[in-house]
Amino acid sequence: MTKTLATAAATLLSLVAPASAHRLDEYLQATIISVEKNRVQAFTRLAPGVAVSSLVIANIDTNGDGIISDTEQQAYAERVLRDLSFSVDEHRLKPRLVSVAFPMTAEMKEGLGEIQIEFTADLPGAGGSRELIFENHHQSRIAAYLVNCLVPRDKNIQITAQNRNENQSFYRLTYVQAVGRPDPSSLGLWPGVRASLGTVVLLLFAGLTLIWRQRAKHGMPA
Amino acid sequence: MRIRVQRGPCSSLFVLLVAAAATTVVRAHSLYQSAVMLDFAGDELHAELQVPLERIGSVFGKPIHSQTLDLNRTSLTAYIMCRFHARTPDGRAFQTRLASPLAIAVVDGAPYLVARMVLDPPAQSQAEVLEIEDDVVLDSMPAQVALVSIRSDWSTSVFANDPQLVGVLRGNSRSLTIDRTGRSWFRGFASMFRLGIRHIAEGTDHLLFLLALLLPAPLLALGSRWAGFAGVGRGLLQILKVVTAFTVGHSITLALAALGLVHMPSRPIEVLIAVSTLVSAAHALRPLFAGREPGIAAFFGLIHGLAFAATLGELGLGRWERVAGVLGFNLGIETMQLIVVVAAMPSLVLFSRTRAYPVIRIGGALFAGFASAGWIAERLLGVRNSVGVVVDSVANHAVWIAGVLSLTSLVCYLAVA
Repeated sequence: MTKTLATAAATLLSLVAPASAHRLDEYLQATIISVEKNRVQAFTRLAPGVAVSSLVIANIDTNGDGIISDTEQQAYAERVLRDLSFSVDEHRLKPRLVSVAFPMTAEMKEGLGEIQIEFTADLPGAGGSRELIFENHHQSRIAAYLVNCLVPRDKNIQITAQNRNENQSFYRLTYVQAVGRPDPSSLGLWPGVRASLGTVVLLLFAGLTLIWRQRAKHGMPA
Repeated sequence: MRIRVQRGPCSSLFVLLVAAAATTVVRAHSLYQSAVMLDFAGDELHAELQVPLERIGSVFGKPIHSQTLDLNRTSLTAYIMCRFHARTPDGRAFQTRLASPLAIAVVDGAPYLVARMVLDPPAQSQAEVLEIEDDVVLDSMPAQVALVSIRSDWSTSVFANDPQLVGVLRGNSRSLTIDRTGRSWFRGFASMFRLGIRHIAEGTDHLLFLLALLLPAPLLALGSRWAGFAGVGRGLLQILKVVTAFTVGHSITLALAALGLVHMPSRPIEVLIAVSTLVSAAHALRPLFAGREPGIAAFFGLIHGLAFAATLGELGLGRWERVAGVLGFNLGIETMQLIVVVAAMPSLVLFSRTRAYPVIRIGGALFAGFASAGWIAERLLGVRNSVGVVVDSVANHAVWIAGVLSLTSLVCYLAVA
């Protein structure tokens, strides 16, 4: 009877229970980056799974009184910021905190709350092709990282590529910052490849034409 | 994970009750974010709102799940329709209606309430610049976040295979301006053209099939072996015939499949494409169908076209966009094909007049055969192998390889001339 019930229970669970997208022993850290003309903004949400929430809370609530004070919130946000790195065109940026929001400790313990940290950094002025690198190493032993980028509101900025490493602790964003409005219908594709391919083909046709002309001149068959 | 167990009074049913209770409250460790997915088709705007069931249940003060959805459908619909709006910059509201009844769907492993809506712009207005306002859950839970993405928009070249995240709604920032100025039909068309170019440039199986078929094109078949050079004119004509036949073949099936007139599962198509490369590799070693290459190219082109159509199928295009998409995508394919043929043709013609050509032909055919055998094993039998990695790494250096082959062919030719 017990076996039958257990089997029925397992079947029922397998049919209806949703698959877990993120493991509960992970500290999910999702960052959304927004690039503007003179600055880069980032919004990071940190959601500890229920199995690691006590560890995370202990890191935040340093005096262990069960309440996360404003000072503790600020100190933790600064610590997160130190574990992140931002660079543009190999210039390391200095991010500044814009806002911090913490959930109730009870919510975090249940794996429901998320910490929200917003920060910004000034960009060194330049145009053309730019490369932004974002790295997150906060609580790397338990972390699951996600990074994404908003489509820039400034139409002079066009994202050309996003690359991430496997665990998304490393993120590279390449974009073009035009001085004027970019041509939306531009068919630009691998300029280097086009140039080299074009050169090779032109050289060969020039060579072939010369050979054929010489052969024709000497009355030799093609 | 939080599991609330509703304990039943009867101990013999305890296990079942635990399971039944768990099915409704087991939660994925998700960020519980909402999502707004926008699809633009001409001046039509469709929005799909995804709200975590856990959050909407908290707002309603009762659990919402598949068993209680019907009971709460009217109030949930009213709640959402009152809190989700689109407006023009001058404040005129879009007419919002549900495209289909509210549904529950699993998104990223967590259960979500999904509302699919149609937003009709006000008279004499186009959905070029609009403001999206979303208060669903956000007005009750300041920490809740809604990510707004454009999932498809031909005129700004956004397609369903790569939605664009355009904004984050949260706290007091619960509206977002979507600016589509500068949109044009040509942007979608240009994207399709680029996609066609990239598809061939990165689609090593298509390229290898074509190149293997072109390897013996400048040669004459003598019985069961390839003999000497057939002449420049004949060689070029043969190359032109093969490429044209391949183009005609894949264009026919690409159009038929992309317009929904032909349906074929992708797996056998992928296997057949690998087989086509194997056949053309074998033909490059020994003439199997000498003089009938254009027919073979056209036949296998039909199969390659079905694979091209699968790429278009992932983009979520509307009916008319699909027609334009087929045209732009095919033009891109032809352009890239032409670039490859033009880059390879001089080397083939020059090499074929030297004694080095058998080495090039047999080497190329063996490489194509090796690659196709690996693909067949992987696609047909599921045997994972590193053929793809090897072929991709060779393809990554294709321009240099083509350059070196071109110069070598020139040197070899001049040496014998």
